[in-house]
Amino acid sequence: MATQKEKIKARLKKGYYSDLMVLAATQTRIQDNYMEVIINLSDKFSKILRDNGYIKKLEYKPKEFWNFKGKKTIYNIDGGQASVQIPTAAPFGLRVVNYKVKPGDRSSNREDLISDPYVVTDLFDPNSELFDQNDDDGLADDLKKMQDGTRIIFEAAAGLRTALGVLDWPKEGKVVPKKNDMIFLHGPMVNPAAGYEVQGTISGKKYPPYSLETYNFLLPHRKEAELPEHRDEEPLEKYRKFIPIYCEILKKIKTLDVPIYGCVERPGIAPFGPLTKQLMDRMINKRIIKNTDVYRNSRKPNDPDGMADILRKYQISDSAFFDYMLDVGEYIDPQEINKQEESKWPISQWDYEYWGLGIPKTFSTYLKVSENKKPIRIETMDVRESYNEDLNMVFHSSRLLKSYSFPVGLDIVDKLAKTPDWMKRNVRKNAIMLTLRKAMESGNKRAVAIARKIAVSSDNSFFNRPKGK
Amino acid sequence: MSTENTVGVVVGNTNTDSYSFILTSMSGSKGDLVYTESEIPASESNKSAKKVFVWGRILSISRTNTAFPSEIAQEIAKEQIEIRETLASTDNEYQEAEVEILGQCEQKATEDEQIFLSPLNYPVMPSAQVKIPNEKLVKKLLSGTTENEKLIKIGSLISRSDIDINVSASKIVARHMAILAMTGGGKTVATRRIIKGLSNFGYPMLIFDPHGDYLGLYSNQDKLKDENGEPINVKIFQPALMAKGHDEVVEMMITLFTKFDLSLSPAQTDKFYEFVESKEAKVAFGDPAATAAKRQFDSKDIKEHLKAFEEIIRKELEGEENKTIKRTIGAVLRTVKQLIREIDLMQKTNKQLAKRLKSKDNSFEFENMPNLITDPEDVVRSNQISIFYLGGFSRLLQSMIVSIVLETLFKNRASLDDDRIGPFASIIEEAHNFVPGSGEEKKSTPSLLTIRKLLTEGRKFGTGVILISQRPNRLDETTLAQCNSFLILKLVNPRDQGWVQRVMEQMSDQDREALKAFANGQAFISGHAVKFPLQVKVDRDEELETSIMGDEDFINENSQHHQKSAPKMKKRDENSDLISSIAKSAKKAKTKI
Repeated sequence: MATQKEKIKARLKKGYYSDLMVLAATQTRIQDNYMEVIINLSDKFSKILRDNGYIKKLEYKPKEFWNFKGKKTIYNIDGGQASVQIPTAAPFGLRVVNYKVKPGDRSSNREDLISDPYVVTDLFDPNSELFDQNDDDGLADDLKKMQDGTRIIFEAAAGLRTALGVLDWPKEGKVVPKKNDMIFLHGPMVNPAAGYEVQGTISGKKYPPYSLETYNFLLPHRKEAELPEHRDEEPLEKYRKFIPIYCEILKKIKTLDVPIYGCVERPGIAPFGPLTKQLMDRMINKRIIKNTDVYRNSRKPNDPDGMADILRKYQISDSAFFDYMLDVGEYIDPQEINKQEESKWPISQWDYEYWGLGIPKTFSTYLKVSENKKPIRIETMDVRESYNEDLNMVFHSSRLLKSYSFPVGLDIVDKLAKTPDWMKRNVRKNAIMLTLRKAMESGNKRAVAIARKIAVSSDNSFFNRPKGK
Repeated sequence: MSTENTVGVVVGNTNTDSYSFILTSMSGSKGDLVYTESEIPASESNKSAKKVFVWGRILSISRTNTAFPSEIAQEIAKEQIEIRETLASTDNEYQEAEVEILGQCEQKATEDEQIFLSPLNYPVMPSAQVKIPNEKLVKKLLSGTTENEKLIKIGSLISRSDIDINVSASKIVARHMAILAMTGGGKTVATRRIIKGLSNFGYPMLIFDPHGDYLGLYSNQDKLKDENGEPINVKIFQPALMAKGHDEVVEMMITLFTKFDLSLSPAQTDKFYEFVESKEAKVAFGDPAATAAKRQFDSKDIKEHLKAFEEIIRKELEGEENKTIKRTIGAVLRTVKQLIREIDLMQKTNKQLAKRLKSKDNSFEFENMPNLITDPEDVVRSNQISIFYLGGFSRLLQSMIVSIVLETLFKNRASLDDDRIGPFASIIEEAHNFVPGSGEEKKSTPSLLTIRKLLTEGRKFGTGVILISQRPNRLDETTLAQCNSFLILKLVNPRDQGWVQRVMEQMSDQDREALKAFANGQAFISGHAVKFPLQVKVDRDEELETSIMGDEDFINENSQHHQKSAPKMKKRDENSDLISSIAKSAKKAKTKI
């Protein structure tokens, strides 16, 4: 059996570390002892983690594991954007796909699929004075946030709607998930909300609220919502926006019996990432390591660095760090992470104490699925009794696609959520024709010239944002 | 539009020859006939479009599951898990079928007794519904081209056993047919089907049978009856090389000399020709100018002619005094005697094979071949199948026999005399030996030109030919191209497949690919005998089969032979040992002395 050092050496030779090596190579001093530092880090720090029970082990036993006999249902949810190059704002289409499967079920009800497309602008309130705005610098950026935020909120709402059993499945109709079922989301369980709320203190602009229809769709439990304002017959525009809706969705998810997990395929690359930091802070609190082991704040040049400085210096992100710590089948004891940073919170609109801290925290872990891939991050609202078994499901379903090392259900739904190329081409062609025709009908020569340029270019600056109904 | 019987929807690009459609799971298979409603430009000036049914045949079906990567397959195979136990998707598959368009008909035409198709001149619409026709519609589509046409039921559609497929008997016998398949592919079964079908009309047939594959017809002739219930007579002839007239005899002798590689020196050759042109030879072989009176001379077995020739040479030898000339004559005589021996041996082998068959089935009666000039009706007659059993003869002699028989009978038909024989069909097994395609063999195969003549002139004189072969690429291309109907069973050799596709007009690439996967009895049929090319399952006439000519069980035979001969062999070995011991003692004795 290979030692930790041998394993790490082998991993460092893999292609995906080349980006780190290139980065490290720009600072010669670091390059000299990069390998040595990593190997030491892995060898010694992982020992500390193991000795203190921070590393959990799952066994890969597929024949024994895949024995559910149809008694467990796994829901897989993903959203995709229709990133079509057309002379309008950035992607205007959104698709949320929900794939349900019962491993071991031999009937025709084993699998089911719901795939719902949306035009983003159709989701907003056309009666709002903010709906029809003139082109302005900065509005394009806001519109991108509007698109992204809508995708995020729809994915979260899909998880909620699935868990509440309000979805009408083509084969089985309305189905309420049971406690031993699972819901997987493709992406984080919780996102930093601040980025998707446009307050306009700089640009002075805001984007419109969601329509009442959309609002009801996103909050199917609205009549029993935690926030009283959500229960109003005619809720104010203010509450039909990203933060209040998102907050309500996540709070409701936290109360549900069925476990929901967000699986992150591409974790962040910031060194000394939040999970590493949280883990080390906890170890400091438990007196397993000293504060100065991590945050050695010495100005003396010969004093050794703390872990935080080392990880920053060597550009070691969460996924890289845990990749050095974990063997195949191992995961880190889940750590609670607050995604809503106070410094980035839009205070003028939403009180951080109530809204920011009101958005539930997540428990995150990294799971190493295969030797050749970095560990994946898995997030959930609560660490339940079934957590180890649930992670086992993530592990075994990811091992079916070893080279991808991601839950296969999410791979399936990811494929189905993508807008097919033939659709993108047709949409682009039709949109260009519409633009040209409108320009010609206007009689404005300049408009026609611009429309012709758009037809032959792939510039997607805002020009003719399609209006909703 | 009614969605009844809808099995899919047209997708992608369409053209006037083909289209693809997404097939509903399990609702259709390869070879099925389908139709779709479409609008095409009307031929009438006062209408812009007319509604038609576009008919097609499913050539291929592909099945895809985009949500099932092959890596999962690798993992579940390695870990021996069943896929439905995991989260992997088995539902997200779809089938795409490719359709070859056969033609179109107006929608109201489907109410007629028969449906006739015209070529399609406008592509079908993507998104059109594709339907499977019911049995009634298919029968209307596949039924014959003219009223009262004589049909033979060949079998059923490969994918639908409820749909009978009939072929035109008239077209087969008038425009010839080729039945091609690898060994064991079902050629003989298919040919028997045709034979039975033609028997139903009492149609005379000649079968040239090198291996006795059709002798079962003789054993089971009581099961053959025409449509009026009249019995069919099956006769087995032991063929002979017949020749009449000096020219014919000499030509045959020279051919035989050459092909048996019996060479003569220049002096011997001169002597040979001297004998051949002698008055005695002319009288013996039959030459009106050489005889005292003009008389009709008979066709005789070449062996008889050769024996007569041998006698002429012997007399000459006896009378010759010059030693050198005597030696030359002696060499010629020996060569002629050798030729006689070769032919004699083959005829004996043929007789022995026949005797052996008779020992297995006492009912077999082998008749001597009649004189085809004077008594052709003994061979070609309504309600009669004449089998020429060619077992034991070399390829050359077989070819000569076929050539002579068919040449003689064709001349009779072509004479247009009132008392000429009726039309007949010739069925030629191992056709690649009789109409070879390669250069060398072509020159030494007399039957090639004869059969080509029958094929060319067959329509005029009713001398249809059915060629059967397991080596299509060895067949003469010109001859094969003269066949207007083809029944192709299993063919695995890519050269054979390519060859066949080249010669036929209606075989698509998918049909060619399907040839290697055919089960026994499955076939592709096309040409004048059917309305369109189809994949069929040929019916098997088990009642016409005989086990006598089936697969020999040599293991069992050896076992029986051993049981019978073992005691005798053992006794012989014991005797031999005794003699050996005597010989050894005698040798010892000699040494002592």
